[in-house]
Amino acid sequence: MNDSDKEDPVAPDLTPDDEGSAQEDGIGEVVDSDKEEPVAPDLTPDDNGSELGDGMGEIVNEFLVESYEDLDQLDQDLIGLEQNPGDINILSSIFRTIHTIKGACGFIGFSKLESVAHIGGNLLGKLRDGELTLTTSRTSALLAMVDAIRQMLSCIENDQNEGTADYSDLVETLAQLQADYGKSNAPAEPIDVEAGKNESAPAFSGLKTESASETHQTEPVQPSAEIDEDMELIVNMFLVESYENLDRLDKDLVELEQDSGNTETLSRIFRTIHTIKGSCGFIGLHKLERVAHVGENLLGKLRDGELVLNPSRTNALLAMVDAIRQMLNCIESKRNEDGVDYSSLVNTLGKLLTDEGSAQVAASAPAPAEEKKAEKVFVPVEEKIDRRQANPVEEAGYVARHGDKRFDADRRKETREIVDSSIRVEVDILDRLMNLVDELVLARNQILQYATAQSDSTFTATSRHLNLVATELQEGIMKTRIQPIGNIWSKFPRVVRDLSMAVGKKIRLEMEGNDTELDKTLIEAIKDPLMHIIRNSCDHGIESPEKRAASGKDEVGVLLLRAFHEGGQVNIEIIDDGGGIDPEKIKNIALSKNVITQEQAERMGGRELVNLIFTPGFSTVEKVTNVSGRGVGMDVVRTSIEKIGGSVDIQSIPGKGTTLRVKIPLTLAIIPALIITTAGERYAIPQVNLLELVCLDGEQAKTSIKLVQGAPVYRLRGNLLPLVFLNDELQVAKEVESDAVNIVILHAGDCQFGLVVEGISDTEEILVKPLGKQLKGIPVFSGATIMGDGKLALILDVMGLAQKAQVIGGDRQALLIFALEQDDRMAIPLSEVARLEQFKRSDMERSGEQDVVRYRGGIMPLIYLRNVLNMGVAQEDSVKEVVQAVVFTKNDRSVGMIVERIIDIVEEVITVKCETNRPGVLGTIVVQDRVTDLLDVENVVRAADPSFLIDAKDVALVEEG
Amino acid sequence: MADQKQFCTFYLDNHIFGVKVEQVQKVFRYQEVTKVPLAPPVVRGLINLRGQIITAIDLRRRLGMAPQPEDKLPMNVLLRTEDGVVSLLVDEIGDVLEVSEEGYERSPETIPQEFRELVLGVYKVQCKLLLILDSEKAVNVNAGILAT
Repeated sequence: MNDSDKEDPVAPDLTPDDEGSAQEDGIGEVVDSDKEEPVAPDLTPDDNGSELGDGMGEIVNEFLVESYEDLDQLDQDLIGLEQNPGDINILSSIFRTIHTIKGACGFIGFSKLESVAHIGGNLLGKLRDGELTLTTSRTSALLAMVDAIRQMLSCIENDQNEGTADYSDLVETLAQLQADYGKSNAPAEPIDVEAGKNESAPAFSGLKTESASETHQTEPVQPSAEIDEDMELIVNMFLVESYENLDRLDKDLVELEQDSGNTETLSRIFRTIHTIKGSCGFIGLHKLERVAHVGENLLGKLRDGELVLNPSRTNALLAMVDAIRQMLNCIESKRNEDGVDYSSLVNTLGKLLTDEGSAQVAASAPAPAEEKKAEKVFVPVEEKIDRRQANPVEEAGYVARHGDKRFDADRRKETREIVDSSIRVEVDILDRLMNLVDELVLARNQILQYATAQSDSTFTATSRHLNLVATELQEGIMKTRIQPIGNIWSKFPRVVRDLSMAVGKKIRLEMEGNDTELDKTLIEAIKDPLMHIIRNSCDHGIESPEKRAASGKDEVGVLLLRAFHEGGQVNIEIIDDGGGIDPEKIKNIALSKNVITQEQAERMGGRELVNLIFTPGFSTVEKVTNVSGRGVGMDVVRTSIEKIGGSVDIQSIPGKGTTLRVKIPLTLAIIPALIITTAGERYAIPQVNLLELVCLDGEQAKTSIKLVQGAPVYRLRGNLLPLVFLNDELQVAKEVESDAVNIVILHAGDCQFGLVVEGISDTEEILVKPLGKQLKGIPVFSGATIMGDGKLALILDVMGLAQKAQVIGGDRQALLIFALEQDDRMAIPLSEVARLEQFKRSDMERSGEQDVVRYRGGIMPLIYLRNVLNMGVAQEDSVKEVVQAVVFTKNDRSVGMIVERIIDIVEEVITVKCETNRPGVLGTIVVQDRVTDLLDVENVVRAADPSFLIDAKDVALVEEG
Repeated sequence: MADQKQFCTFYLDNHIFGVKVEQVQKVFRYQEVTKVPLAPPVVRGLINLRGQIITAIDLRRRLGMAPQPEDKLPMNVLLRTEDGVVSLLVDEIGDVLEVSEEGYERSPETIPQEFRELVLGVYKVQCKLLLILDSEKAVNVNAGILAT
């Protein structure tokens, strides 16, 4: 019977007769594999296969859910837009949605879907930028695109592939609709055409695949290692799904036999087999696929009513289910399809496709014997395996596990290890468990305290046991929610490699802090933004090898991902050593796109300008590529990061590189912390800020703590450390009077200082919980935590504390840099600035000696800083139409300080380089490598208007200018 | 009756206040409060409610009333607000009252000036005035940097 398949006339049942034909190329391979091809290649996945397979479990489902929502939104938006064609908000929203879908498709590898979305995005981009107007035909085409996407999504959902429908017409229409505009489209056009071409490529292949296969040729070793790891996951996922499917199949088939007319059951069976077939196809399990495929054909005919179900057909189908299960077992234990020839089964199934064949089968093997036939199919399994097995131990193991108890009920249990090893749990349930465990721990603590006073040995032993169990339970529950960031990073090397190939660059990805832990929900939330940032860095940040060589850099660009905990937050930095961002270029683009006005542009500093890339509709690169550069990305990145309470900031040095810093709160993260006490309350200090502990007794304290210019300092190994008294900073009374001094040496950024506390307890792992909005504004605290006894302890924000205490030399402050003359620079701490305003000269009025302006329902005096600082009146002061003012507010009164121009806002560690005697200047500092005078705001204001600071007792130091 | 509304009531001194019953998550006895240094005075501190850290707001102080006598402990009214869950410290908890829309009036002149800002309106209930608290506004206490 085994031989019969060679001459089998029915075998070419490959005529695609249903949606299954999506696997056209896969089927082609099936025919080849008929001839006992070596097993190994079957398991070597093609690149897209691995990517997809991984995605099947989670990513694709997520993608589907999101996309369906997006599409509903799109429908509404498009209709809204047609009624209201000028609405730029709707347009932007549509554009963003399409872009999101496109991006996700590109990442998962749905190239067909991507190409449709891409071309739609192009058209929308033009509409948004006003290059085209919305006509009915364009709207229809866009709606058709939405429908097409929806269709493909349902294909993906049901069959896990994009389906066969040809959308090239639609793509062409869309391309035409923007092409008929002409000239300015030139750069975008070629790409569209290329995207259109991808249509003809088989499903799941595209730009990525092509580039990936190139790599295979050039460096075959590395990729295969990577794939093996990926493969493991995919195959496991596949196995779990398939086992479930098979169980259902068994049930359905039996049901069907009893009620052969039930089309619903039949359809369900058909779908299940089809799913299995589809999955096999892209993981490269061609044998399995082939078996499923003939079974599917038979089922298709049954479903369509062309054939009726008879016992021999049912038996053959059940045999097929068994065969599939057998192969799955093999895959699970040996990681390959076993070498068995299932061709007789295939053959039988094939014959059963026609009534004559069916009769033939029935004649040659009467119904009761069918079971035997199935047996026969299996027999060679062991024989072949025996011959193939190189490792006798493995062989024995295999036979023991699978051969002997093939029909044993135990078999199920054994082979379900993978199935049972993971279940899906809702995060809500975990949250509730977490809270319950917290309570349990508290109850435990109370019992433990109680237990120490008891003499009953059974009780103490039991409570000790309870202690252990509760601790382990707590750890276990926490682990369910917290994951290392490496989990999402592991995808990036691949992404970067593919991207760098696609754009012809050499990029090396480095990662630091893989094991930085954070909550799963946060990990999920930052996944997409990070992906986007990385795409951007590869596409725009790092230059081409030639360009890099020309500017004297290593040809290989470095992209560094770094994650670490700092100050109760998780910091993620994406650093590239690429071309950086030129603020001037940003400014020009922003102006041309009307993102900012000319006036705003002039007032903006370099860093502010660079941060403009987060504005909606902003793109610095004219060339739109498949990878990025649509100008939607970065604002989406910012929005999604801000949604979880994070922030994102970009710093760039033209020619040197760009650093993107994402800060997210670790609402649920655990950090080690030192517990200290002051004024009877406990506080937690994050261990990351801790350097060392110093305890001084009375005598030592007297000698080593000194006052320098009124500020206490401690001499630690030759260094003078400023001291901060925690009870002073927190404005709480000292509780314990003692001569001994406990100093916690901390570092905040680049500065070190000593924090004087009353008592030092212990280090503990604490769970950071955020403070309510009412307390967010206190810079000294970053959160709170629940201690073992159920009481609360506040977590100190060391950076905030240092700032509040104004620790010398360590103030990383935001400074507003401005100029009073052509070339000078002055700075004010940004915290002193209420607003930046500009006033027209015509609005300025005079009241007595004072220039004033009506401002927010009051009268605000204006101070000419040049006068106050004895710099003389500048000629242009009286000529300029518009003056820039820095508004300073205190005690509900405001004063405007007129400056020449605003330069920048920077965050710097302020180190006063030299004291100065100039009135109104606190000292000179170095900011951005330039000498900058630090303005003494209070004295300046007081000098100009002595009544301004009511509670000021000091005599004005500055003479009126 | 479509225009019946339910309010959870509580007492401050001899005033009856109410908040919409849907906004109240639960009411509970006094719990130990952890003081937060540097916090605005209306924030009494933090409460550990079964693993959740909740800000407790002293409603008396928020309304500019004199503090409760030392020997009396306040009760907690746990509110769901836009900014998360917040506890209001009140003297005593009253019943849930059902009132009809017809009895609603704008805040009359007779209620103290400090209340005006936080009281949306009043209902006449059995010869007494039920003051409806603007809970969002009541918990909107910002410990901004500017406040120092």
